[in-house]
Amino acid sequence: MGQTSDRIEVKDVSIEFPGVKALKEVNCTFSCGEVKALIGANGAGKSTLMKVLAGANPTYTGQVLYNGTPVEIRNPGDARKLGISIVYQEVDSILIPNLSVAENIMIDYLVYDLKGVGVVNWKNMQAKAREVMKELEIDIDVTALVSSLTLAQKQMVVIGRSIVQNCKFLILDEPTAPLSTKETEVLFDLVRKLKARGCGIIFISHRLNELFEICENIVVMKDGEIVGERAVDGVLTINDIVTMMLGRETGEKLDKSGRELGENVLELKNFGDSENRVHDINIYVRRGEIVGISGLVGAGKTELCKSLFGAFGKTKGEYILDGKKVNPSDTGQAVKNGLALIPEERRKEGIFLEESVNRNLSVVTLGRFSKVLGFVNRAKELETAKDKIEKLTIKTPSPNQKVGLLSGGNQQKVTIGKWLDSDADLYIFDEPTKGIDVGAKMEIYKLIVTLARSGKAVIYTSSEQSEILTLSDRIYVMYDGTVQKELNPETTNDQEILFYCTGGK
Amino acid sequence: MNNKEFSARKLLGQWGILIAIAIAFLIFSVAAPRAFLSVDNFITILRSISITSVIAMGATIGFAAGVFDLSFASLATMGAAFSVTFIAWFNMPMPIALLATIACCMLVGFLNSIVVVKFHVTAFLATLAMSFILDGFVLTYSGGSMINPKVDSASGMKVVREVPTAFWNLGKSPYIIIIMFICVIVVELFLSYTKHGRILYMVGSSPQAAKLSGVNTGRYIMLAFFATAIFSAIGGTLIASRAGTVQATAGSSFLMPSIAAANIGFSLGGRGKANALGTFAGAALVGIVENGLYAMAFPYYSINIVKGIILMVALIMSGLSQKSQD
Ligand SMILES: Nc1ncnc2c1ncn2[C@@H]1O[C@H](COP(=O)(O)OP(=O)(O)OP(=O)(O)O)[C@@H](O)[C@H]1O
Ligand SMILES: [Mg+2]
Repeated sequence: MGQTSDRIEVKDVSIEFPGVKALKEVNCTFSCGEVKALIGANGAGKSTLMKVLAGANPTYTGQVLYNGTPVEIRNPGDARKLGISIVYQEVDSILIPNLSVAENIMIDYLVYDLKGVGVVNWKNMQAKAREVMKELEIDIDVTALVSSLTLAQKQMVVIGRSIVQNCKFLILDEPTAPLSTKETEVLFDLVRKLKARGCGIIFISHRLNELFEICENIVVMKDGEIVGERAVDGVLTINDIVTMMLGRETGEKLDKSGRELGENVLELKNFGDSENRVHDINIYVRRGEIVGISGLVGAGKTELCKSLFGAFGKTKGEYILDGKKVNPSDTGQAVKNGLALIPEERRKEGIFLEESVNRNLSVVTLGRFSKVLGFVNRAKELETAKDKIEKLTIKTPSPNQKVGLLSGGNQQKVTIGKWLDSDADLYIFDEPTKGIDVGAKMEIYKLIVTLARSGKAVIYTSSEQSEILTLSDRIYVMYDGTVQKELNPETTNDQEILFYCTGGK
Repeated sequence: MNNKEFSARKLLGQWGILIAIAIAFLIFSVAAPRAFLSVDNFITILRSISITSVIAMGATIGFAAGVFDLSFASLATMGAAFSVTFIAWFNMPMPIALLATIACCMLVGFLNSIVVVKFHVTAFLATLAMSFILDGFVLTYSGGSMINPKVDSASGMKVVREVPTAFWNLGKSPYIIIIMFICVIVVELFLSYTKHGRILYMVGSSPQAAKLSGVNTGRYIMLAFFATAIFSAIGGTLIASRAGTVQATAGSSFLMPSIAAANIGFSLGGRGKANALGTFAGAALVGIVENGLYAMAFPYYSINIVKGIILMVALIMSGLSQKSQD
């Protein structure tokens, strides 16, 4: 189809938000038929640059050239005309939850192509949607509602839509963050297929080892600037990338020493929730211990975390905390029982997008700042917030910035930050490093170890196996709503974990 | 992009109401100096916005918690009817009658919250149904006619106690104005400075996140309904004491102005959410314009047009202020 070398050049593109210069005269080229990775620490400006290309940041200055001709991308329609599609970091934001998969894929047909009265030809539309999904070898029922899909499936739907729209460039903003190894493979196959069709792919990820699998080139951003571009040529190593990205080396190894394992903080016997999302779970967690929970997307990790936290109401089986039988019927009781949960879906469940960083950080411990008549001691609150911002290296122009305006990774840090000083005994981290850069990941690991050193028990779920292996003292593998196997990180490896993750016995 | 344009927009968005109040004030002072610009009239304005402000405080707390309670106006009618008849028909001393009125209104708030929290009905719809029930209930209670505490009722109730002057005083200045200011200050302190106010906002902005932060969201939604009920009861009492009689539609004429006031007030100072001072400013804006138009001898039947336009402009302005933050 025509010349294969369609390309987009970004010339001196800058953009400024109140208090932040998010992009500083960025220059970069993207070509069709090439998979290019865009990486950088949290808040480096990756998503911002991609939003410029997608028409979602209309106030940029500088030039964008398409095959050498200057073009204006001031709204999503402009981007669409140029054949640029994007899967946002917040996948949900461009799908319509209460329409079917077919309708979401064929949204252009519905919006632009229907003429006259606009009678929908359902059969035709569903057939076309099915065709696309088949071509991409994606197994999703096109009549299902998008709201019933998993995050990974939603991504597939967005990609399917891009294909229907004949996109020439596909931007994937941290598509693998919510995926486990298995789903990631499926996604990568898809990317390779698209590349073979002559599509240009821009790929953002914080999982640096992935880049070597599918990318030809890597562009590194730091503080709103491009600090380097390297080909994946066999010479390039992860350490090189990290050094470029953070401006320093991180050969650091996690030091987990100095902890004492105490008595059981949590013990579950035949535990399950009322609707059988999880069932027959037998596990224990000791004081000072970090227990990793591994499993594919949909294995029930999040459900286990939430039912422990009382978010699904009363539970079945025995749930013993600190030697006492409990059964929290709501989250408030769980907090009183000494639990803390850092939930997986931060934008929906972890933070208050419209509220300031300061207020988000204090929501759990507000009682401590409001002794007299419930009046909040704002000075103390602010001081604590500043302290946490520094400790967690949250990148924000001020504690009063709305959390919704922070970069994805920094939002995640706020989610963790609010529990940092609660008096919980058992911390449940549900995919806490999702979307967090390598530098900050290490910080979070250290934080977790510090919590464990002070005698807290930690449950830690992740779909990244390497992470589970470095961090945990014991590993539980979940499959189909229950714990399938207990493993020792000293003696197990990636393959074994994956074997049990996929239902092996 | 352009910094100057940016801050002008921000100024208009955040302080637009105060600017609008100032402009309205100037225009009327010039256009109708004799009728508008006097201490007496100033007090008249304050008195005329007092009931709206008090009732709107309840709506403000509701909006803060993300609850659209539509029944507050009908609840105010019930409050009006109860406050005066508890004294006249049921022979209660005034303090007891007022407390009983508040308790009855809170009971309705409780029912609302049960329907919303336990049965997961959208607040807007649940309270729409409730407002029908309340309207019908008040009509039944009064025997289908206006309540006049000086004569026996159509429903067969006898006047057994004279309503004391203290009750009628509540509706006169300065008391009514003082009550208004107390309500505004209490709600402002509660929402902006206390833990529970803070959590109400959190529940309003993301119930899910609040829940997973260990907040019992249901309890806070109940709290919002209770607060709305209390201010409806107080507002209702003021309606009765100011008018002397209670019509079956007494409260409903405050529905739109209260919702308008609360929404106009969202943008005050860039807060971007329902807040007491903003609501008060919103009520003041509507009150001043209404009063000024009367002073200019504007035909009364056209005044709603102007009120509607003000609401529209105010909402556009706060929309602008939202945008300038994106
Ligand atoms: N609409 C906005 N208003 C204000 N600041 C913004 C806005 N969008 C982005 N920013 C700021 O611009 C900077 C770059 O953000 P961006 O989302 O591009 O980071 P990122 O590289 O994608 O990070 P992450 O890996 O965490 O997703 C951040 O400091 C962020 O807070
Ligand atoms: Mg991003």
